[in-house]
Amino acid sequence: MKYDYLVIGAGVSGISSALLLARFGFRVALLEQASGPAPLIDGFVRNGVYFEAGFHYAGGLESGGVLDRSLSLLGVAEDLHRVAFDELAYDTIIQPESGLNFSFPQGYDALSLALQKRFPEQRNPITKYLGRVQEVTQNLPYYHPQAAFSPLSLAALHEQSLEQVFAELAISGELRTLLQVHCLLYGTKPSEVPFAIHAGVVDGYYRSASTFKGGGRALVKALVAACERSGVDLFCRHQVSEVELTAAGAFAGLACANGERLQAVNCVSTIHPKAMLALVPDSVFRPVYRRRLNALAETASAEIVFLRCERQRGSALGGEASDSYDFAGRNFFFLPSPGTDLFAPDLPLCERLLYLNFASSGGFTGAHECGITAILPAASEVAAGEAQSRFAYAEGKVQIGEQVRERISGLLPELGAGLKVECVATKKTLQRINLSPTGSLYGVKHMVGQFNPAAKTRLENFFLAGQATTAPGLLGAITSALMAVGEIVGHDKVEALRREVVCDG
Amino acid sequence: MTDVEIISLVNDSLIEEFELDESAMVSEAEIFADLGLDSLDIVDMVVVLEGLLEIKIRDDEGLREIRTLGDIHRFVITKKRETETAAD
Ligand SMILES: Cc1cc2nc3c(=O)[nH]c(=O)nc-3n(C[C@H](O)[C@H](O)[C@H](O)COP(=O)(O)OP(=O)(O)OC[C@H]3O[C@@H](n4cnc5c(N)ncnc54)[C@H](O)[C@@H]3O)c2cc1C
Repeated sequence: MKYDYLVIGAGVSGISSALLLARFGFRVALLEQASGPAPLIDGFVRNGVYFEAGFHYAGGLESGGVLDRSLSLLGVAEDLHRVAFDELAYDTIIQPESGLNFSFPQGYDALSLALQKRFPEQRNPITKYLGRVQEVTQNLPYYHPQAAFSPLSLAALHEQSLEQVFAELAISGELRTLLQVHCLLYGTKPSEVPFAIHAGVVDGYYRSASTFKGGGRALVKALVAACERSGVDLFCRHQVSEVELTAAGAFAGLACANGERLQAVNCVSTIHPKAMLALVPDSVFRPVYRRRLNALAETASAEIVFLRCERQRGSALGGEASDSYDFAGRNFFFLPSPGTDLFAPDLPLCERLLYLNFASSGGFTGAHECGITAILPAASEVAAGEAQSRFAYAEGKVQIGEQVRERISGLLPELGAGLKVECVATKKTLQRINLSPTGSLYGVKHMVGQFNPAAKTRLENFFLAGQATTAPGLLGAITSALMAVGEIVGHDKVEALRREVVCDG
Repeated sequence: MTDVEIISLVNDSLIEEFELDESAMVSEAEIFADLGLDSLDIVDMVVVLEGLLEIKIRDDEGLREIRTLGDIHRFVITKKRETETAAD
């Protein structure tokens, strides 16, 4: 069987690319190294409790929102049910030492009011900042995947860092702390991240914060069902080991580690750009391009602890709202002490930035026990230390889990004695699941001054998609597919499809 | 750095980074037709030239006017001199 397109990697971007290509009438096969599709966003069940892996919440999922429309375009919106996060407090930021305790409410107006109430002297900068976030986002590929962005035009959008915008708008102190906390969601510091990338991420959350009923797992199911309906063939346990070329040097097919070979006219690679380079004969790309891709900076890594807890009603933690609520549908960011770099990866586990997600019951199904994910950013470089024995490694994981559990118990005593560690993921685990050489959480960074690879490559009929090419997160991954398929079939055709399906005028 | 030094630095680096043929490096050589570069190479060319000469050209309109190797030389020399003057 010869395909029109082979897609390397069945993550969100790979599946999205495949679905769109099938929409345009191509025969497509998806090759995924893991045992199931989209392993990054598929959660897992341990001892009867569902845990999220690489998907905790999304912005822009409100009806007609940018992510909602993208999912419609993929033909999966109807199979998914949105579950809104806490309306008044989806993200709560707490700095125990300074007493900072602020909750992000959903919607720009509510957020603007809440910030102005907390920082009356910075009313002007707040309005300007929120206005700038909305304005910049409107010019991004999310809203205009048809605009045929070139690497140079994207670089022009990415000139200014988040930190520079803070300085320009005289945003300082605790306000700045609050507005930069979401950098954790893509693992790049305020001094490095282009303001436009940050704006694209937070704009969605400022509008609405939600997940799907059934969590990341429900999204994977919906995507796989759409593949079946569209006739996309999905091959799991197919780790691509080589890109094969014709005698004339054109793309011919893919060889897999399991010995299978598939032929096709074209290919879309959605894996880590450095991993992609390793599959292609050196002669294909110029040394300068290989060097650029190999030099792409990696996002932060993390220690991730998965915990289970009997669901209980909590007090309002001293926040402004005074009702007691269930923690489900909330995130907490516990910040290191004032004056410390927010994202400092080398602080001890009891002092480091701690992100807690309570959405993991898979859309708040009312289960008796709730899965909690705790993420603590770590440096992404591989530690040079001597190889650990398996025993020492396992022992280390137990210690990490216990330290983090103790810290959470102290911070949220409401959780009570029922809080237990289920398992721990370290940099090594991430290296394995992400195939990222440095164990980074989100693959490569989007960074001021850096050119991430474009969809088109020098190898004709070989295209790139994935969060590394366009923007981070679920939305970045889907947008990257829209841009790659636009390069393939013509951006005007993708735009026509968008208008037809999404009816957004 | 003199103009001649800049030109030779640029040529050496383009030869290495883009695997170009040394004998083709004459100033009237067209970058697409004669040197075999294509539009995808422009980004990498920008990265190389910016790094090499510590200049910023990525958002410069003049980039689009470049047709020949000589155009590249003139373009970066002008940019380099502008940067030097600005730094004084
Ligand atoms: C801990 C964590 C939390 C996150 N939380 C959120 C969140 O709350 N909201 C949000 O929007 N985003 C979140 N993200 C980010 C989001 O998960 C990613 O941006 C998105 O899933 C990336 O999709 P992708 O298709 O670009 O990459 P991937 O999902 O990495 O897809 C690449 C696929 O290729 C496969 N592969 C690799 N090499 C090969 C090979 N040689 N052959 C075959 N297959 C191969 C991989 O197994 C993988 O499935 C989170 C990420 C992490 C790590």
